[in-house]
Amino acid sequence: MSFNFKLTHLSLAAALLLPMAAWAERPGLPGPDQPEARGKAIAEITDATNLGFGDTTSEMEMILTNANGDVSERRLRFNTLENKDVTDGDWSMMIFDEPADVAGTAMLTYAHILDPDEQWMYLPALKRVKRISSVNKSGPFMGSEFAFEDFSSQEVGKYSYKWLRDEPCGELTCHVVERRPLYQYSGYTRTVAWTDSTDYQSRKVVYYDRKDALLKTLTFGDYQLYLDKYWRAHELFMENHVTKKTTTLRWEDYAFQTGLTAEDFTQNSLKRAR
Amino acid sequence: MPHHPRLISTTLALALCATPAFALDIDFEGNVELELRHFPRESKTAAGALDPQREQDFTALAGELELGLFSPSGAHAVILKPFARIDQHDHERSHADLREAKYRYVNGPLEVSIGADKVFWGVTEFLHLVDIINQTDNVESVDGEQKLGQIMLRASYASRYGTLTAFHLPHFRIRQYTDPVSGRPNAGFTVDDSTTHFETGETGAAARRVSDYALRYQNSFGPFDVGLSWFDGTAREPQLLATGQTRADNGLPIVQAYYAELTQAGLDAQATLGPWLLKLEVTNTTENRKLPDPLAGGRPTLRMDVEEVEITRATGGIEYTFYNLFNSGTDLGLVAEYMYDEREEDAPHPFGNDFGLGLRWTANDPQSTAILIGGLIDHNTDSTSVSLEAERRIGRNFKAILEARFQDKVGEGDTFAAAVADEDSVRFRLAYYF
Repeated sequence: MSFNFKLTHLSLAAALLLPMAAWAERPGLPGPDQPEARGKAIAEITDATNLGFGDTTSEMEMILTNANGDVSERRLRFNTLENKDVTDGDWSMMIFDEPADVAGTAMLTYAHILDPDEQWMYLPALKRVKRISSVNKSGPFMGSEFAFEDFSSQEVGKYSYKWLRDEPCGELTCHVVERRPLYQYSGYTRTVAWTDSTDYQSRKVVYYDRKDALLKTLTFGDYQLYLDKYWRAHELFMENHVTKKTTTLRWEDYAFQTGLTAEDFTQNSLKRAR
Repeated sequence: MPHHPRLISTTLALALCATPAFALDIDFEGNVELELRHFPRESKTAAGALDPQREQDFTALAGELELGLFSPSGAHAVILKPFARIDQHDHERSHADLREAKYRYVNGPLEVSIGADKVFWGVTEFLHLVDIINQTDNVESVDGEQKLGQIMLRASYASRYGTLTAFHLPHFRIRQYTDPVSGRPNAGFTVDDSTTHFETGETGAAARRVSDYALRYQNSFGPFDVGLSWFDGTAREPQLLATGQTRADNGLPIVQAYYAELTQAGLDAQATLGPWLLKLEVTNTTENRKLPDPLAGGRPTLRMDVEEVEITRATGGIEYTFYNLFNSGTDLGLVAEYMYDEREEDAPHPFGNDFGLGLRWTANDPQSTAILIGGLIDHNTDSTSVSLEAERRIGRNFKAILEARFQDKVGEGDTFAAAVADEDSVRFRLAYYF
């Protein structure tokens, strides 16, 4: 008890001394002496900022650039339905528009926390819905530098956490937290995430591969606020340090609470997606 | 509903007289392709001589368009999907079809559609047993994956207890075969459409006016996806009857197609367990088949009586995928399936007791490069055939597809394998998508 007090006292003293610490520590956040609890609490605050979003529709442009500077582009649409059951994951539908030869291909996902996600793929040329394995976590998504697991919903229970430090990130101060995936088949030993201490949104994530070597860095930009409550980054930039390839995601036309229901996330609706 | 930002996806405002203007989302897309087919070996006549009428190289052009009109809410939709191919030599392969021409209405869990459409049922890769709604477009490709549009009235209701779909199929389409003089692969016989016979006894247009129906129930239980289906109607695959006649020009035996009335109960199931997919399809079919004719060497003919037969067929196996193989970002999938028909070698198709093995490699690169190698082994006759398919996107809108099929070994007494022994083929397509 007295040990705890001393540490809190120390960090308070440090906060008073350093000019960067213009931010106020969020009340109730476990102290730096409890790095695991503090890390998890930061993730829970981030998760809570998204609570009650209901459903969203959005469009995405994906720009792939290889080491030679060759560029290829994709376009997709995303529909998401919040799962009212907080112990389970959200439902999502992904619809491919470009390249033209894959137009109409769509993927339906029922995300779970630690159980494998349920996924169905619709192949329009054959009119076939195929249940697919959701083991494919680490593979590239549509040839990009994003892995499938970078796209799946970032439920709090999917990782263990360890707060590392707080440090300035641009004009804000960020909590730097190490996350280790608890689900099977991840391509990462750990990721390190920078979450700002004002709005509790991700600003940067660094990924370390299965051998714990630096793999890639994701930076989030152009955050916009919806319904006065929900932050969405509109530009995501992923840089692979090994292959020197990059992928930029540009999100457009976000709409919240559009009235989507569970009926819009069935295999029948997957076949109708276009 | 989100909007639909395809190449040409625009919102058209239609002012209808005094009524308030309403908007339609229009979606237009499609593809055109150049196709080159090469047959390394010369085809043979029924007598075994070289057949100069059948070329070794075929050029073709094909195109498919898709036009969709959608109400703003997405509740109403009209979809048209015409397809056409022009083949240099094979007049039967030059054909056009309305793959889809339908109106669709959606209200919550209910979906109703009327018009031509295509429906797929099933889970396996080598052989599609339960899939029965559409007639196979037999001239388009030999793999049986291409289907003709089927006119239907369909109603589907999705709930947490599963999805129930009912089909009424008022029109029947006969199976088409390649040109008897120039077409390849040369099947070794020709089907004379003018003598096509139906069990109903009807002929011509009346025979195609049918009242077939089907029911399907589909549901998912955790890792299990299960489908149950029932079909009552005209057989999609005809029984081929000997006529004793041959074509005057090339001596090819003429057969006639006999379409029985059948009922088929189907089960398809898949378990998705980690990287493993376990698959099963079973059908039980009851149909009347013409009996062997002693005067036609034991082959069935039209003059014979029919006998009701009940046939059980099954196919199933595994699919296992190594994702992100050696951290290369590429995937390697293995498919192993077994195909069974209780008639085994007496079955009127080559899948009586066969193994299928497949390797699928996907590069997951920006060009979506993929290679599929497949082998079929007949357990009774040891006949083996091999196929290879490779595809890759070129630039933004082009896609190149290469397919090769080889009959590697013709087992003793295997008439199906023997018929195509000289019909190995390589097919290259360059498609432009828009």
